[in-house]
Amino acid sequence: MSRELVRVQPPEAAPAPRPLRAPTLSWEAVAYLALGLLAATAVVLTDQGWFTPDTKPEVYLAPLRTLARMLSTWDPDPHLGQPNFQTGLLPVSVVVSAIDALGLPAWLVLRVWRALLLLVAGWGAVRLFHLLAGERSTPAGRVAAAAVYVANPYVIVAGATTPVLVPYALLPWLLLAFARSVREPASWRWPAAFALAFFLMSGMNAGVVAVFMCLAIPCYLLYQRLTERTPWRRLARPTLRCLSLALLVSLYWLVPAAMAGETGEAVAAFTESPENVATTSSYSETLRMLGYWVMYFQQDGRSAIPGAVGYLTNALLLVASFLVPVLAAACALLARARARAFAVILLAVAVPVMVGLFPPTAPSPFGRLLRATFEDVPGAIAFRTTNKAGALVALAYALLFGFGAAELFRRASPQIPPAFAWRAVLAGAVAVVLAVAILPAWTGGLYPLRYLVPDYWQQLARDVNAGPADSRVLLAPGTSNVAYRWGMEGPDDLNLSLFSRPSVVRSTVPNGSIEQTNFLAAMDIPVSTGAADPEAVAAMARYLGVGEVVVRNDLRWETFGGSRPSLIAASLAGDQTLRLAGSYGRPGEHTVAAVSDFYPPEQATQDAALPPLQRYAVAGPRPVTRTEPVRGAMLVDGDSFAIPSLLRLGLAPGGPAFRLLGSVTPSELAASLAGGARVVVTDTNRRRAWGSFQTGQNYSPTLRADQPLPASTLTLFGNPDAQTLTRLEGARSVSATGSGSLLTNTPYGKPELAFDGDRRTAWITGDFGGAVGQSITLTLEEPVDVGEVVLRPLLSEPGVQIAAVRVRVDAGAVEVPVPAEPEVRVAVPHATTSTVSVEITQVRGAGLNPVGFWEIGVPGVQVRQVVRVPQTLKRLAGRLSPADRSRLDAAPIDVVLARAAAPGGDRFHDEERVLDRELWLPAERAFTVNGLAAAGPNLPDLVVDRLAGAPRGVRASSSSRFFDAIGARASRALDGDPASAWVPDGRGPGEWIELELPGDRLDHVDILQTLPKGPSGADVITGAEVSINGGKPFLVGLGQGSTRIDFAARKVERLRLTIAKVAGLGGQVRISELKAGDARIPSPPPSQRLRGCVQIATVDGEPLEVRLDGNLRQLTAGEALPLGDCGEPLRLSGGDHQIVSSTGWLVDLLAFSSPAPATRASQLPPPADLQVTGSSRSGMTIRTGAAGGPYYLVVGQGYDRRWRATMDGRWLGPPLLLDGYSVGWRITDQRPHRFEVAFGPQRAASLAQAVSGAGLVLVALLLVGARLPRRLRAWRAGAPRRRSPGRPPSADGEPDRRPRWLPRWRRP
Amino acid sequence: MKGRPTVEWALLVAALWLVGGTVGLVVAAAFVVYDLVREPAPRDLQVIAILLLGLVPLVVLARGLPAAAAIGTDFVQGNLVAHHLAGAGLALLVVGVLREVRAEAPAAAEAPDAEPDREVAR
Repeated sequence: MSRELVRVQPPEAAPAPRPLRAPTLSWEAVAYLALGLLAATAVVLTDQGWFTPDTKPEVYLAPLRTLARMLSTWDPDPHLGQPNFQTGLLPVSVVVSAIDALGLPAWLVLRVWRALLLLVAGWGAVRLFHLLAGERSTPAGRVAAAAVYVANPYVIVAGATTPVLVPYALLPWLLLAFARSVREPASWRWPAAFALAFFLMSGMNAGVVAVFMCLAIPCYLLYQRLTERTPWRRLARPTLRCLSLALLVSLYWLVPAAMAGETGEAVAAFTESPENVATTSSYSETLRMLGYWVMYFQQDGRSAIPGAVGYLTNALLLVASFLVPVLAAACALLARARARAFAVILLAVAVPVMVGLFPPTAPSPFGRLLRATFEDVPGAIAFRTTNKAGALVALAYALLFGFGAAELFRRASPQIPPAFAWRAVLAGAVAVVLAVAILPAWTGGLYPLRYLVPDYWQQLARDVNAGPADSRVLLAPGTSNVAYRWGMEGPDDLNLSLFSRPSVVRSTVPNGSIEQTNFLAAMDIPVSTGAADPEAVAAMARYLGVGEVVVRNDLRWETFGGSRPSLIAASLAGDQTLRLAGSYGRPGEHTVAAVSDFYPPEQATQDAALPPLQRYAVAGPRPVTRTEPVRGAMLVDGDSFAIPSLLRLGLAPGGPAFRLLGSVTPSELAASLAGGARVVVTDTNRRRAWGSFQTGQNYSPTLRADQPLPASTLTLFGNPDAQTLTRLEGARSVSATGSGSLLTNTPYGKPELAFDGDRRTAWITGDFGGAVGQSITLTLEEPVDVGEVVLRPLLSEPGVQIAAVRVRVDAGAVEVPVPAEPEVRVAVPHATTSTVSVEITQVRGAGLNPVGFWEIGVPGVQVRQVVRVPQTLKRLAGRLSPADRSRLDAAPIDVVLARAAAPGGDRFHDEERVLDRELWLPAERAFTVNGLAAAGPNLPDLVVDRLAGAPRGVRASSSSRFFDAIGARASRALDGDPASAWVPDGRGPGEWIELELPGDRLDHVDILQTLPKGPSGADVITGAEVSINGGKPFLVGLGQGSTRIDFAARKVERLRLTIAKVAGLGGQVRISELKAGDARIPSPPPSQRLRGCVQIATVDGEPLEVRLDGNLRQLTAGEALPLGDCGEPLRLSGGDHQIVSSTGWLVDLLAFSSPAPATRASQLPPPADLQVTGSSRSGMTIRTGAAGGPYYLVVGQGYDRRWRATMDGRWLGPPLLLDGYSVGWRITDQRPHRFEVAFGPQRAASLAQAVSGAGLVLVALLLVGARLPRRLRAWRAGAPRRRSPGRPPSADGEPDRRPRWLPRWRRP
Repeated sequence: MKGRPTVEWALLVAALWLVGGTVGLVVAAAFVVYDLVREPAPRDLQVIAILLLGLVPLVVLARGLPAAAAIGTDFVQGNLVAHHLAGAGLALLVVGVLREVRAEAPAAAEAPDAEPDREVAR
């Protein structure tokens, strides 16, 4: 064979290192072994035996089932179904399933997978370094590159999850293949290798990380162009080849991910915002490969990534981690390899991307551009977590460290001790710095999450999985992020890991359509807050096809604002619609939180009596896929939040099908009415912003039409006309910088409450120390003359109080102190003004409590907020034909109005105290009245006495009652019992009690003031003004015990006593008895049934009188009492109506029905028989029998307009939204049928899967097959194997027998 | 003598403004002035970059470290000096390395210092 000398031609192909004779076991090999051993030890032995999931737990706990899920574009569990944007998990599932097939326990499967990834990462770094360093590649450089890439802070913190670590591990291979492609532009082999690497990166989380990794491609091209002057044209061909093949093999996840774009955007709207992500991504943090925002947050007093806290609190760790970029820069200075330019280009591109919007309050132009992209480009929001580009920085550092180490040891040799020694010491020091920088990996920081699934969950799973497969299992209560007391946390719940049966659980983040999330919220919020009605829960569960409800008492409910287990258990107990079918685990096992001021021992004791899991059977369950008769269906103007109210009032007997009018066309309305449907007008579908931190009231107050609706909302249909809105009277707007809680959306404490004239409602703001700077602004319709503003601040003791405010009117501003007094008058520049704003400028005291104002009085201004119900029915009615309109006018109709109240009677957190509504009715009708009402603030004493059956001759009223307690009303001073008393609110002066008497002749009255038994702080009235028959009051002295007040004898018809002076330490005053002749109002027994009618509201100005069904004890306790007609039915005309609730009543529910529910057909027609004869995750075949009338085919999967169905081969048209969440169709042909139902995008996705599969085959052929003929030829000719350009033969001509996984290197 | 790298300056100013805002603009302007006045060697820029990056932990330490119970985003948001130092350090590192590498002839790409072009047997 001839030999010739040739000169190597840069720049296309960097010269390969000069291979030397292979050592038997070089120190390099030993170093790799040691490094691998260290990494494997850390990965496997840390938290040995614990399950430490780094992504969805079902990937490891149920790998085969997860693998099957990845093949479908529709994921039916666990949120009622959603487009699947996780199909890219397929390669991971395949590998994990293969590891699982070895029979390892789940925790070890995970560790093996993790160790494998790190091995691949390190190996890739070695190969890439070797290629880029070329002639300068040395063992020291390769080992350094591998070590830095495998062990760095990014791998420990942000890169610790599979979706990040898989692309991280494959990034060097991707670049290696790309660099080879560029060097061999005619080759298809390296583009195929590139495509394979990209395929293996997988498309987890819509492939976001893999796409970030592709930033390395332009970096490499730029490097080639800038340093090697390679023409762009020459770079274009290999680039296009790589990208086209990568695209081909990635279609299997790209197509489904694109089709799940809407779902992904909804998830993004409810989870971290780009600004949240950017709160910590500064250049300094990013350069030390941290800046991952979760690491800097705390919840419940503990860090989200406890193992990484040292990076912020430990000086040694902090310095070591900051030295990583310093040392990398020093290596760049030391290095001579030209590819160091590539490393810094990687840094120049990746670091600004990772920094992103930082600082979020003033981002750079690039940050603003990113923000605009996230907001305006569909799907771009998925890339908001820019920290996921961190692998590029890590790789850049690995290369720089490698180049530096290579240079450091390039000419050093152990045979030259002095030079080698200082280099070795230097390298050792660097190694120590790097070792310290990853110290958290050795101190428990490698796995932020570890747990063992308790046995009782396995037992439950066995029982649940034995149930029918055509019904679902509901996990309750819902969560924001899962947090079990035994350790499991994260966005993914346990049911997919354990249940083979369909299951559903509410997450506050929408997964699937907003409609289905809305339904789940409507069902779960009462459960989560411990205020559930078991009948309503069971009825709504039936709509979901739920057969069993699993109540989880082992949740860390305090992390997502849930209710403690014993409250939930109590609310669900005692009803046969939900029957306790099984308990799992020991009582108290993981059911008790840490005792604190907010969780006293007695509550802990109650929770300790519960088992961690309880399984309830739903009475009369329905299958997931079913038919429901059209006749009797409800057409609801609102959303699914109407259903609990309808069920509570008995207006949805038998659980009829229902449709939301916002999704109905005029022709569908007409058809439904013709089919026997009825109409329900509600005040649901409130226009609100929603949050996802808490499972309870995590939403804003109801918005006005002019207030923008954010993307994070569960309000349906977009159009304000289809939503319940608020409207202001008396002002154009009231706004505030924050209300309720500054942490998240809350409906209570809204700014309008500061101007509503009700001293028991307040605007609150500024919790958790955020009060200073908060402001409230009133904007008036017309300017008014203002010279003074009256403030009534909240005075929390102990806690934070407002100490000073700045009051601004059009004419100027004043800053004044706010003393701790109930009322503060602030003089402002006297002029007409159209705005008044109050800004909190100082606070006093300490605490986390909110501050605010009960009232802000502006002379001549009182603001009233009115709620306007959805106008969909009105809109649709206007488009009906006369015949259809007549049907509408005659159709059964219910108006169901619910006060927006806090659950569990927590009135301080009510959104509304009144039920003021505007609504529209199609025609004049007579309505029966139904509802629930409770005694509220300012309920007149006279009304209570009348309901209690007091005699008509004597009436007693008062200015106020202590805490509005009915037991402290004026008539208690005339009941002859000194133990009872009239107790006014406040300390006394100015408060009055008035008697209306029959007109007997009197010359004195006796006042008795006695102190109550037991510890008391009661004050004594020492002076009062007495007015008789409205005459001029006269001052009298009073004292403890009995005081006689004489006056000139006369016929007394009215007597008022107004408190003038009080003595004492600040307690309450009380008048135990007020004896005026024989006037008495006997105190009725608590069991006294309420009598007569009472006005609870006005309708169009006319009083609405109702009868309350309850007794005095219930009224006194503030219980909501059923209310009903009082005589004649309520007659209302067609058109607009206004309902205004009366003072003193908390009307929780008010319903008008026509005709009366009792006169309606009680039985719904039977549904058509249905059998699912075949099903997959994204479709099914259904056979139905003959039906007795038109029916709805309810698929039971979350609504998505892309579902398709054929009936006996005929297309059924677009799907309907049924039962608030499900796709379905209306079937009028009553004969037996065969239906084929499928999720439309599955066809395209299947095609994409096939194309990707074919692409993989092509890639494999290009990788292997393309080389085969050449090898075969060589083998046939008996010639020695030809080496690839990167692996030349050794210089001494001897064959290189080292294993292929080791790169060829120069012997030092 | 080489001409002034006007295009490079313009690119640098634009890039630093883009990713660093006003502060980036100021850093870029300062660099251009420094470049005009001193014409620093690429290695000088790298040394300055190392110094700037080395200052970052000192600035963070000088501000004080939070207790474990008090960690929060203020650790980062309250320390913009470190942010700007690190950004400036990165910029100088990138410029320094790129200038240095571009000054090297591509043909001498991977050759060790003072070594002849390698010869390999084919």
